[in-house]
Amino acid sequence: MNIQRRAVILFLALISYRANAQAVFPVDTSRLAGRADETTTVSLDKNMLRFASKFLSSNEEDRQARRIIENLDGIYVRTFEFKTPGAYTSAELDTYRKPFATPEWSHIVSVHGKDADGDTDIYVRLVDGEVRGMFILSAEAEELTFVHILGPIKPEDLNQLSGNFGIPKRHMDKAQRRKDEQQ
Amino acid sequence: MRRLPIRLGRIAVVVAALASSPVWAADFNFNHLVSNIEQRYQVRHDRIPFLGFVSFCARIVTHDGVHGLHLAQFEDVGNRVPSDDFDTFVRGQLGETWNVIVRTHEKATNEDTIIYARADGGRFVLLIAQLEGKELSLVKIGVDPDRLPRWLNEHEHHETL
Repeated sequence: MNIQRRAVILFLALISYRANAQAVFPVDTSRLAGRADETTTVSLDKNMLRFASKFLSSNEEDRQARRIIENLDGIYVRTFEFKTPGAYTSAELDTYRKPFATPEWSHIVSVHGKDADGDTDIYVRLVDGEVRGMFILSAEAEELTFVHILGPIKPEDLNQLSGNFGIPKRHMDKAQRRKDEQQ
Repeated sequence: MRRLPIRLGRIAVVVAALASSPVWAADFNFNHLVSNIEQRYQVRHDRIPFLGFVSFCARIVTHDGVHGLHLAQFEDVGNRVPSDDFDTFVRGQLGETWNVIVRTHEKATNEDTIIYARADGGRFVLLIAQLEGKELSLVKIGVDPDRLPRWLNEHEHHETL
């Protein structure tokens, strides 16, 4: 193999490594950013998750959270806070749900109020019958949160992760309660 | 002797590949970044006395948990540093081995916080930029993900005793 060919292969390998390192968020939230009073974006790939997990305490709850994230490939969170209700509509929320209306994703939790306040949707991505990703959309009157988790995760693991890595606790508690009710 | 240029070519390719890989990439120069920010946005940073000593103390106190503390404070930057342009510029300076792990924006106070991070062997390097009103702060810190949590846990434990 000549030197040019080796250099090309090496270059392509580096490019693909970097392309994989930056996961694409499955919904476009750029329009919300302009309207929100506070915006928070958390992007933790596998490396950064490993780093962040070291800062979990040694209690049992955090030990379980560490065990879960050791297998994850990334956690990506976007939160938009509004000072007044009505910054988004139910129709707009539907556009964020649309990318998950494919056979690849299963809608496992759906909590819908009358005026989109308190809506929670949880979708899981199944590969060969195993959960390989999760997407959570949580809508309150003055706050919208999107969580994208990459890698193997069980719905019951959410409780351990909520409150860490930018995943809001109250949304997850609410979704878990509703999921328990549905079962 | 005729093969020498080819060997040099191979060495150059390997060195270039290693230098661009996440593990071996050389750390960016904080002072160089500060100087480039000054040039781009026509701002000046304030000198902070004894920062080297503070960095040394932080390393000792945290038992090597943190290292390489750098801090630059720019005052009276006015509206000369738009956050999106600043982010794009800093990313360009840092290179592709760095990721933005946290970004926040508060409309009322026009406050932006951006945390850049990269794995550096067994350690992590964080660059925290905060744009608040007329001020811009930049902090770079190296963190040992094993030693710092251990120190924090010990510290927390002592406080609760």
